[in-house]
Amino acid sequence: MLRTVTSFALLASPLAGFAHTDEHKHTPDPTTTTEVGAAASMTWHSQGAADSDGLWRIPGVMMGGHSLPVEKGGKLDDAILWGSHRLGERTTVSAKAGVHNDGTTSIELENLTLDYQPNTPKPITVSAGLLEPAFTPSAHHHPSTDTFAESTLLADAFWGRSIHDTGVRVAGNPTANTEVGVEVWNGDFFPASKGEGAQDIYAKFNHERAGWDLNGGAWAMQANAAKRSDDRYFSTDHSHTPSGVTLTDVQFSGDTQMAGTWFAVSAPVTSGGIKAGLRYEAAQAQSSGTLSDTTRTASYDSDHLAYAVTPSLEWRKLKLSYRLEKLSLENDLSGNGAQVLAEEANLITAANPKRETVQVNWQLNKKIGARLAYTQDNTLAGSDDRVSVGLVWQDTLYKK
Amino acid sequence: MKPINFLQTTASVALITGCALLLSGCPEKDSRTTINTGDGTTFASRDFIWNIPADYPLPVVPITNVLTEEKFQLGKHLFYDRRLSGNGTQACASCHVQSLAFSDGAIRPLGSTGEMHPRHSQALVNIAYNASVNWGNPTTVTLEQQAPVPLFGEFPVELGINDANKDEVLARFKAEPRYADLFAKAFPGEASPIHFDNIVKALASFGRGLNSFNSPFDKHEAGDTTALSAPALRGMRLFFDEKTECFHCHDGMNFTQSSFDRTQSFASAVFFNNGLYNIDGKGGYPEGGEGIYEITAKPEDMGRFRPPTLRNIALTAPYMHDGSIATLEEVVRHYNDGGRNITSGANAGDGRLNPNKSSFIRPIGMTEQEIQDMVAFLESLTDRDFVTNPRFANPWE
Repeated sequence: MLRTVTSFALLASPLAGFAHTDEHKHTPDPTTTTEVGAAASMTWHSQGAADSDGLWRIPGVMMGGHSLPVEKGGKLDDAILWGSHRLGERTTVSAKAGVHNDGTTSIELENLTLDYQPNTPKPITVSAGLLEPAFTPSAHHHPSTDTFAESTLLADAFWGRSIHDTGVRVAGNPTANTEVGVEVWNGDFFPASKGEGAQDIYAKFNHERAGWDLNGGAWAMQANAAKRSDDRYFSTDHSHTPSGVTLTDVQFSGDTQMAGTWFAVSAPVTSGGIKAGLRYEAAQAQSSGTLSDTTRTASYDSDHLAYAVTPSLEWRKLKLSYRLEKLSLENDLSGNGAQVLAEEANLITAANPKRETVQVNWQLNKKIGARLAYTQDNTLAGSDDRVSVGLVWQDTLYKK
Repeated sequence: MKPINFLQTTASVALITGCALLLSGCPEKDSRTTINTGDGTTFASRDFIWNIPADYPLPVVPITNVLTEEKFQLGKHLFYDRRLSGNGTQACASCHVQSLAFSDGAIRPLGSTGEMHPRHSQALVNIAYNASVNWGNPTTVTLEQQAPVPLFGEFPVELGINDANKDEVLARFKAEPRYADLFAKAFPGEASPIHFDNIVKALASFGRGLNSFNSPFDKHEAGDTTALSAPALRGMRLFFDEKTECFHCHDGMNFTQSSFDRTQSFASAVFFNNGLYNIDGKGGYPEGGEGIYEITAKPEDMGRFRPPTLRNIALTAPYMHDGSIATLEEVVRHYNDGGRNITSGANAGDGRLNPNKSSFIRPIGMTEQEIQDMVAFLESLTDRDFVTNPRFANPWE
């Protein structure tokens, strides 16, 4: 029976490492036929993360996807509804829809997946449809199911915060606590461009013993782009460009290769009731291709490195976390248009963007948690600090 | 404490210690952006003390000579050092005097061996922006190309360094204790940095830093309504009027069309004939002063010279490529007449009728008052800070 939900568990298991509570993760019980859940998050920020012109463009990195800055004031971060239904012994369908604070106001279908497990000696799951990736937990960020309301800089810089795309995944379990998989995507996400395709391969493991919980993985991805704009500010159906700000649409065409590793470990609860944990993720992204605007072109090669380290301590209903994130950005441009395009694309930098967050999570009851965070944000030229206060709600609405 | 609790506590402490190690040992490289425009230039940082307003575009800098403060300082020492001539009698500063906006006041300067130069000493003002460097050579487009000319040039001899004395010249620098530190800082990592390639790079770097944007005109443009006198304001309106055409050749932030910065894709290396001579009635100019014709040999290029910047122009008399016009007022009258008519002597001829003359050079018909207003405006382009700035002054004094 466990095989029938492997794919869905694949999506949900990384969330366990991050989940605000363990009560409402997306993994359906193997004995469950149908399950529907929901979650929502709202946060008030004392300051926004954008520059004075309203844009959040980290110098030295071409951004895109859903990497929009937090805004000053209170906002709904997201509200999501998900469900799964077992169609048969080997087939499960699952879906997720939600509203995100990313400039859109309509409900977006983020996930509609059909999982099938053929009768094989070792468990294999084939998933197809609109998928959330499995190669790393941070590839699909939901404020309402994550410890932090803000996604990692790594995710914002490398794949535009969250990936939702049409694709096929084949995942297998060579042993009970390991998993390997291959995902092939249409390419409707940063750093790919629509229809150009992307592929990733990953391996994961989890291990529990004597109160220790260790899970981690390694992955590699290749993505293709053709005339990719910063779709946060140059999308056809919506625009977040603050009024009065004129940007030049610098487009990237070429390949991006990424690789990364992550692990999450938690120690047994001490006699004093304290539980220590650590999460670490590092990734490297290398792009090679061309930049162009309407009149210029230049060759572009980049080598970017990102990591996030998050130690935490839990005591009863409280969890204290510290997250340190850094980016190292190396860019090489050549060609007649290199100078102008480098400035237009905001690629001139000698700084290592850095962000530090100290946060306290408080589980108010089974369904509602609160969080208070202090963030020192050095992702742009000037340092900016902010205090964030938020509430998270998670619930299982139906289970059978 | 029970053994199991002790183990758990130890493990937690180990985990926290591991966190600290991870935090301090996370992989990290310094971010950087390198740009090669294909023509050998690179983006320079605004961190260098450019003396260029923040909202003005920076010049382009060769990728082979990245600009640093250390190179600038070394270049300044070399620029003012007479030991940088074969016979030790002249420095770059001998013909480029700060108080005269790095021109020299002479009609045509004499080199270290007494040879007269065929050109008037150029002012060194905002030369980092020059689309071409010389009065009349479209092939010399960088300061690194230009710097060896006065060092090693033979026609004419300027600083007079040659095969016979070059080792002696270098020996002077190697013997000067101050230079050991200056060269080492400017060219870190080189075991023997005192050589002419680095001298050229340092001189070019000093030249690249000689920027002037603090004249009364600049203050006026920045919003100071009292910066310009009434005559200068009238002259400014005349300067930018189609009646005078001045701005067609002397436009932009550098008051020259021959200006190139890093926002431009293509350099506009322009040369104009302004009707200074017409010796043979066919547009002839005196031999040795024939403009880019000396390079191209095209008849239509006879007498075509680069329009220089007008910044600090009041300090750089005499004027024109050969210093043949003594005062600024005479220059204005020259253009007001649509060229110069020389009625006697070896260079006699009516420059107003020069067939190669730019179409912008034609009789203007300014009144006497307007001529004085135009002069007042040109004088308002003088940047007193530039000619007194200690950053550009002789470091040996």
